[in-house]
Amino acid sequence: MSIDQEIITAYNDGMEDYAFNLIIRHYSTRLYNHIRKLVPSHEDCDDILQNTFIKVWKYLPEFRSESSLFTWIYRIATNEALTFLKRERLRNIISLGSKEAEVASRIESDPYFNGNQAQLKLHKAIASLPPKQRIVFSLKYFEELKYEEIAEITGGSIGSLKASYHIAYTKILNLLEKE
Amino acid sequence: MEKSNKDILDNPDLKKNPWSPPQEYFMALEERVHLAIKEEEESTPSLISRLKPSLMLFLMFGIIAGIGYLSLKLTDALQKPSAIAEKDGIMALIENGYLKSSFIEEYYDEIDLGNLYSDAMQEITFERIMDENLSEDELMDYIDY
Repeated sequence: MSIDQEIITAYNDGMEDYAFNLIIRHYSTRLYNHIRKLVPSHEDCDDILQNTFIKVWKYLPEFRSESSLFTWIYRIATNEALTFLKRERLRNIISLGSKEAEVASRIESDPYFNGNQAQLKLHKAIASLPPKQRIVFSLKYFEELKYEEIAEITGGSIGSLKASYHIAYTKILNLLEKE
Repeated sequence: MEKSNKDILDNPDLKKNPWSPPQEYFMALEERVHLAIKEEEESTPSLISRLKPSLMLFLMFGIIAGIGYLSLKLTDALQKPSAIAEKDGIMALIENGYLKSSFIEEYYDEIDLGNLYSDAMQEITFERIMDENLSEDELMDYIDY
């Protein structure tokens, strides 16, 4: 029995708290790593992760196994991250300032960043992408999900996701070429 | 050049997560999530506070509708029915001859239509006499008539 099946069985047997604790223990690290690649600070990532779990708890009774539990949880987390990124982008537009340099410096000075120079360049390039491209690139490149799985998480057609990934990939290559 | 960059992106090390969370972050996360859920459930808004936005919206709509009605009333835009009724009253007076509806009607009232008709007939008869070659007997008959 997979962990997802164990969680669903426990929940259906009335052990809601146990099922939810299993979700937190099983998905915390994976979701944290996913969200962390999308947002520039640990604090923002922490907020998004907590909101994700609160929503998982809130909407778990409505989960109908039409998609896998993994996809369903990832969809919630990705939507939370996307909402955050859109809000940040809007704030940047209102303040009329380019935040790209600020985001890059935040990554450089992040005490929780333990990567090498190549990783630093890559994540600075990713931070310059629009929110949706950033999410599609992250899900495909880091999580190595199939386009069908990405479509279940983000919505949209497979064709548009392929195009989005291709654009993001090319942009990152161009940015790496410049440096 | 592009090939070398593609090689960089194909490097599996790049796919590793370069961030590490603070120590014991995940240990504390479970407890914090439960606490946050408990707080959210406790702060679930009451029925009145949930209905408050709808009530406020309804109240605002009422105020706006009231202001609209008053302004229409003040600018006589809502006086049409009574205005029509008043007009109907005036029409009734005109029809009953208590009021003059226009200058023309007033003018014709001053003319004696009976005299106007007889004058016109006289003119026609005279013309006829002049135009037609009536015999003396016929003329005498006509005068007697």
